[in-house]
Amino acid sequence: MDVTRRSLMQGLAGCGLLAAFPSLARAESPLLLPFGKMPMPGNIRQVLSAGAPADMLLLALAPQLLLGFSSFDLRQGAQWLSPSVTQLPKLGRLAGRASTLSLEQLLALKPDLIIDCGDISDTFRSLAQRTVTQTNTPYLLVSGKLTDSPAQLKQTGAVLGVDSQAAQLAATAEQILGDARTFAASTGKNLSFYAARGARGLETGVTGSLHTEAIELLGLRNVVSDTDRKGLAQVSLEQILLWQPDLIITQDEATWQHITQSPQWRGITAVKQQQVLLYRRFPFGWLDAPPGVNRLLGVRRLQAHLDSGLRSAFKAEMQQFFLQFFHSTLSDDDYRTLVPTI
Amino acid sequence: MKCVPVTAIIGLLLLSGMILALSAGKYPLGLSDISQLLTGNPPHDPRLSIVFWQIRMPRMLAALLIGAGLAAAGTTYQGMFRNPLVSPDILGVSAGAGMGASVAILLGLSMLYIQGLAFVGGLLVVALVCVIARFTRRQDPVLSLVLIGIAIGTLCGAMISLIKVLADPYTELPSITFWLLGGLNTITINDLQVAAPLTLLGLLPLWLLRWRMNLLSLPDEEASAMGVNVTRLRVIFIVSATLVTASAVAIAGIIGWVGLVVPHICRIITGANNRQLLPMSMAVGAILLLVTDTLARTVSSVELPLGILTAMIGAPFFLLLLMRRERL
Amino acid sequence: MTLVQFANTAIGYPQHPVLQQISFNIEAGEVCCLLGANGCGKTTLIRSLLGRLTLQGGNILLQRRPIRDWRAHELAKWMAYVPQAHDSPFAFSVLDMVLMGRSIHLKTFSSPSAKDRQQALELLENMGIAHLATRQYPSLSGGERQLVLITRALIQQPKLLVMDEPAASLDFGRQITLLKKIRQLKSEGMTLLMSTHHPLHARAIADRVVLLSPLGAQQGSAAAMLTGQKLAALYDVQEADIRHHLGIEI
Repeated sequence: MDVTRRSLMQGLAGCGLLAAFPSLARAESPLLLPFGKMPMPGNIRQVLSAGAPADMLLLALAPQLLLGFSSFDLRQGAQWLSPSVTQLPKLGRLAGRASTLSLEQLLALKPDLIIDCGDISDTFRSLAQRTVTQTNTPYLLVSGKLTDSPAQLKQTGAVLGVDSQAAQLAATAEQILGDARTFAASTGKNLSFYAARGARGLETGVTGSLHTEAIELLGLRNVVSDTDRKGLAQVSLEQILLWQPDLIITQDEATWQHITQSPQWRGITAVKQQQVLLYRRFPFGWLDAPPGVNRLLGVRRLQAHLDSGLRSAFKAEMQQFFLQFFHSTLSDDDYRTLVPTI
Repeated sequence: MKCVPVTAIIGLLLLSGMILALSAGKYPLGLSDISQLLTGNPPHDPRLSIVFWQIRMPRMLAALLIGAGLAAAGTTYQGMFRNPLVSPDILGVSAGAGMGASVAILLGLSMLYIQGLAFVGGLLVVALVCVIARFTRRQDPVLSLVLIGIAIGTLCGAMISLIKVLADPYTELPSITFWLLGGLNTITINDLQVAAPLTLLGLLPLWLLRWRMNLLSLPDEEASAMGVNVTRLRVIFIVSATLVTASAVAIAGIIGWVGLVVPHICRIITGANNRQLLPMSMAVGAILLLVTDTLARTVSSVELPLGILTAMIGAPFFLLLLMRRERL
Repeated sequence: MTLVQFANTAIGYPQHPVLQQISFNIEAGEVCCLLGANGCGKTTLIRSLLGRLTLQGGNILLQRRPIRDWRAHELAKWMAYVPQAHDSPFAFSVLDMVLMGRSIHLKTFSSPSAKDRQQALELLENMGIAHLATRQYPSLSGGERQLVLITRALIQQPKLLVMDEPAASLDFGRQITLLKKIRQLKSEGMTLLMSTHHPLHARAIADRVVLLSPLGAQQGSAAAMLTGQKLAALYDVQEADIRHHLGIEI
């Protein structure tokens, strides 16, 4: 009685329900999906970000066009980012029922374009279409897969008219991804990892999920896999004991503390060998959330952790990345705060 | 005379459930390993000792304790509210606990605070319901309590929804959702060390006063004319059942249906007299949750949330009972 | 000896007084019947006597002590209550239902013993319903339930039995049995207060009849109270109709 998404879908199909969802078997779609009449690049003065991944994308590409962040309030606790970034207001996100930005606020902000990045399933397409119909503001949906980041950056940059900035970013992204692929083919594939979430570290992303795709890019094998579920799941410690991942990665201090201090976790070799990595949010996450281009830096950091040849160059690379993607100068002191150990 | 075989069957089921729960799981741990571990011999794989003593044993004990506790609280509330459709969270304890836990998760606090806030939240909401009930002018205190409980519970539900909207959809929101669905996968010995005494403290008055519980299912004036201090007895039961439920919810999240369905099953076996019904409910509740939790951790490659499984088993069973029996 | 004394009592609710200036006594060992039209306050009066309703004035004395000063468990040793037969949400067995009446005689944490059980079975036998002992209470007819509730009150071993229209759901035969039972209880020294809609029942057993009307309470012997004239006034019908309907001279 293995309950998976597929079996659930098969069950639903048996009830004849699936006939109503023709799109479930859609072929590969393009990276950008425009809704409404796209403005000419020169006419775009204000862009609204619909969610956290779009925040990352637009911050990197065109902070001067960004009306504000959908999900980040950086006015406190982000001193390593430059004031031009931290002063941007938090406006709220657009996500249908889960929106925290109302359509009226949206209209008052008068954006020339709304950009959302991430999942481009029918749910989000219909949301975009509905927003366009109601507000008469063009809406661009960008598919947010990490491996597509160079193309994401280039194509979105073209829409916004910031091609040269986009080309630079895309080059960086391409290099990080290329190196990661090389690593994956050699060292990476011999390693396994467990991505710990939740206060007890027993929530995790399943292989192929948004939450772990950045780590998997380096060839590391996610110990948690389910026939075709691709979201978050709960596991028991017993399973982790059995899996014995080489690495445990988390982005929350509370999770890290529990894993490194609880007697239950002592039977796991990675814990004994202090291979529990805490990639603290700064406030953008390194490898997990938000699932945006920020994860490229996390991919690089993890590769540097695993490949000692890259370690010495990482500080300079991270400072360069900050300059390019966050338009901020990262001092050596701040680097040491953010990356106490690689 | 028919009592003896029924007790024996339930005892046997409980025992086999415990053996099943201890031997089933993803980590290979056979019965011979278990007997070795129980006799204190060092196992060939040192991890077996962790799996057995730190993971499966606490989890099994938690399932027994929480199953018995929720079923006892459900039996108590159904009896005292004279309504077979009542569950342990009728006075808002789960909603309050859910609110407390959600706030703690939103603030990124550690498990200790999540559990603490859940426990306190549950108790506070029930206290609030009782205080408001004291100030209502309605003649029927039982109905007042239920209605106020529903109102405050709904209010907490709205607060939880608000917290979910405010939570980060990639990080905090999934944790809140998992918590609200309930589960025993995070149980540690430390959780039990705190929750078990509190649960037993709440179960003790329920157990000792279980015959008098019958009297509360009569109209107040009848019970009172039989010499029962109705208000005091009701307060004792509410405090005890709330303590039990809040402790359970604090360490395991919201697990529905056990407290509602188990008393019904047991009334078929023992009849309505709480003297027999309460012990039977506790035993059956323990068995049910133990089996459900064992399923939750074995059927899929990852854990299934316990709250989903109890609902999937409980709801159809309940419907069957409703259709089959003239009287609940 | 006066067991219960209503002294200028006003009963009802703060915004809704039901009866005022009620004065009558119930002597130990007698049967007292309450008569009155629907809604005149018979049940309110009984609830007040049970201590469940705050008095709006005056006093009700049991053993010369105001009812409000009695604690529930003290009161229950003196007085037992037989409600009108009702449904129960749970399927208690008849024996369980009767045994609930033992609560006042049991320690807080204990439950009925084999001896209590024996006593309950004897009482059920005595009431002529021993065959119902293992039946579920909700499956009984209204009349059977009423007899169970009376048994439950008797096992409480009170000195005063308060009954709210005990004959209401009984068939003709059971009504006669009930009246006989009441006489028997009286002969054993029990004091009884019952409300009834049947003047004939009152005439058959009452030592004292209390008529309740919005004007207050009138008390007297059955012969003095159950006259055609008084009943006609009480129920707001013609005296001739009363005589005609009852078919006998009252």
